Amino acid sequence: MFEIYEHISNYMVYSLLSMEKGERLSEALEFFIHDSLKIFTLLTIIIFVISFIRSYFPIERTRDILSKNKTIAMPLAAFLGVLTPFCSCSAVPMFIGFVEAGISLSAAFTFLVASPMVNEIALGMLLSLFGLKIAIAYLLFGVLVAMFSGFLIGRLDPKRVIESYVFEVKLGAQSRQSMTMKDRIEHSINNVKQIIGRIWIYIIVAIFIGGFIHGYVPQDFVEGIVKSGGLLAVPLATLIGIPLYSNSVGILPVIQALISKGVPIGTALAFMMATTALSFPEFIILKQIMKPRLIAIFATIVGSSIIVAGYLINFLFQVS
Amino acid sequence: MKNVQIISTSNCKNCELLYQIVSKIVEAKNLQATVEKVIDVKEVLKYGVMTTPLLVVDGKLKHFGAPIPAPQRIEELLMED
Repeated sequence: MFEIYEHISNYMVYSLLSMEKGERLSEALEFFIHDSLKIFTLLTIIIFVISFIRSYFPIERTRDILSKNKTIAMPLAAFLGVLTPFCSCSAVPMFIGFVEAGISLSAAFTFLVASPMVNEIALGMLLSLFGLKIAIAYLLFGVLVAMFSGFLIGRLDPKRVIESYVFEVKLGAQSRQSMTMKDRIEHSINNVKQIIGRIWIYIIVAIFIGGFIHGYVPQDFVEGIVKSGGLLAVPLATLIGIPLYSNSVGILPVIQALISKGVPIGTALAFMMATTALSFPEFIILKQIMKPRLIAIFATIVGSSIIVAGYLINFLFQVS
Repeated sequence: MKNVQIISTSNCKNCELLYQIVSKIVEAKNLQATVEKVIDVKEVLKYGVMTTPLLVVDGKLKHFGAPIPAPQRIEELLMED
């Protein structure tokens, strides 16, 4: 399916720009063009399909499903968190809406972790770029990290860690107009335009960095770092990921290059989860509902769970 | 004079985009309207919605959540009573 891009990038580099074959610069450039075409095509298709599917799962429906299924609310919250459209500035009203609907704090926190961390578009991209096994590892461990973190945070005394107004809010029931097929398609096209319009520059930068790693950074060098990091590689990758604020789709081209240079999959996925689940802009948004103590606890629990998940994924992929 | 508000919990990309599109339409169509951005959780909650940004015209909720509608649709939302 992607052969056409090889032809195009080949043609552009060696015929249009008449560069020499086998040189580093020409190879890096070819990689860059090839990857840009591939990633933007994939993104367009995946965002469209997923937006269409999730137009059937608006947040109000998610809330109703969760409040009606209290016994399995946590795993359900994690999976619905993956599916539900999420912009980090909606995190606060969503959380309040859930609490008001009587959904347990554990389930509400599970949702809050899963929704930004396990991104369905990133899942689609992982599936197309790396195959089923890695995509399942990302989904499964992402869901487990969210449930485990949600469970632990839900054990805390809510009155001491959450701003009190959260429990006093009465949300009016705002109903959403039902959508026609035409609406859903328009909605999905809008979403493709808006998401790509927002992140294309980051993707270009990431593909550029990926291309650089691919063409200029020797495999021995990356393997050397990973080896000298030893067991510390996973926590280090997680810690480096926290101050880097990216969405998981934007960081994928870098992840792809790192994996091809010998970085273990669990280490790479831990890095990816940390960049999306934990970030300073996210903390500032969460500060509107959480007391500073809870933000520290939140970061510690989610961060440690990501590290454990990274080790487990590395272990599983070594064995298999 | 209409009062158009774009309400959200933080100044995120979607809110900024909506604000820019609305401002452009108001200017291009010479609408008698003030456009303001309101960053306040409590304002969001007042309208009983869980997703941002909100487009509110004269106190009436016209749209909420991402993706925001196409510019043409936003124009219709601004014009209607």
